Amino acid sequence: MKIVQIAGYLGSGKTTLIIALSRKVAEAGMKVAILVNDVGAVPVDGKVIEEYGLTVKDIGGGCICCQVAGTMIKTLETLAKGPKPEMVIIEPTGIAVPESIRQTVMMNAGKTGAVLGPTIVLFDTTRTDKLLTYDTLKRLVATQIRDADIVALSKVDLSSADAADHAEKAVRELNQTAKIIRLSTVTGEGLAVLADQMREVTVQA
Amino acid sequence: MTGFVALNSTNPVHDDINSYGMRCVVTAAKPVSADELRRFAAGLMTAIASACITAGAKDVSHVKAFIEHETGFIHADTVGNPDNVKVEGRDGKPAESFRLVVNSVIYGLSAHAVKEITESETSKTVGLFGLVRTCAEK
Repeated sequence: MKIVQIAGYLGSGKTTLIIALSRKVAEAGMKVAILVNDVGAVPVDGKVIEEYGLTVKDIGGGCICCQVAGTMIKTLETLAKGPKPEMVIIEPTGIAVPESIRQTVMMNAGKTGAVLGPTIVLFDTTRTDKLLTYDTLKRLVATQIRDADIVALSKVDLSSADAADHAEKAVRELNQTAKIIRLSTVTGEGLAVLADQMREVTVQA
Repeated sequence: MTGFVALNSTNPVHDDINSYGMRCVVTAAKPVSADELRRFAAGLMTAIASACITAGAKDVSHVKAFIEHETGFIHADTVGNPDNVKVEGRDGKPAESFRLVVNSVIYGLSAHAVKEITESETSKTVGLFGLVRTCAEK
């Protein structure tokens, strides 16, 4: 059971991407489950994904990077014993720290049989300066970017070429090793590459 | 009406980010068309986001809504700019009532302010569209 995390700050396009990517991965014959953790106690994202015909496990009650990590592991155990998906896509809250989730998954790999796929972090190219201006917000967004194996520069269809370049430069300064992919769920740019990476890449703990 | 202050994290990376989630059932004297429902959802997102900015929010990180009725659903959200609202979903037949879920996640406002704004702007928008908030979703 491969665990792929699709993280990124609020409003970066995680839910929309997951709907698009899950279909692509499933079309390739892979059994996929989606685990959604919404920041609100009343989940919205899971409901939206379900309405598009995908199977979702909702985790509420807090952020899975710190508050409800135990619930995430129990859910993964349930998936491993029951539906046995080949891939679990985790959509954490937009304020989650990806490395905390990755560590929790690996520390409990004996219970769940999980192997790590890539941690994909979305970065909204239309909001580069806003996200990287305020101290506390920048600290969170920069942490998310540093934790990424792949950074998907999202909403490039809404950004000028200069804005996308600006975003890529800012991301590269924060993470020198991550693969950077330009992404638009509207035009489809980057989707196939991301789906390939999800299927093919396994990360060593 | 059921409401929750959702985020009560002690993780320092979550400083200054507060959220509020609520759900309710909304009824109408006459069935609401799909177009009107989309206008309601968009208006609600703009109202909450604008009020948060007026109150001093540094960033409207995400305000989103999910509306579900017997024959359809829509979801709406806004990020950053209150006038830039995305509304999507599967329109159904005109609805006499619908379930409404709203989540607001705001950077730079207190949890109390996020709650107050989400509740009051939802009530105002429901009223503006001639609708009535009736009860909590069971």
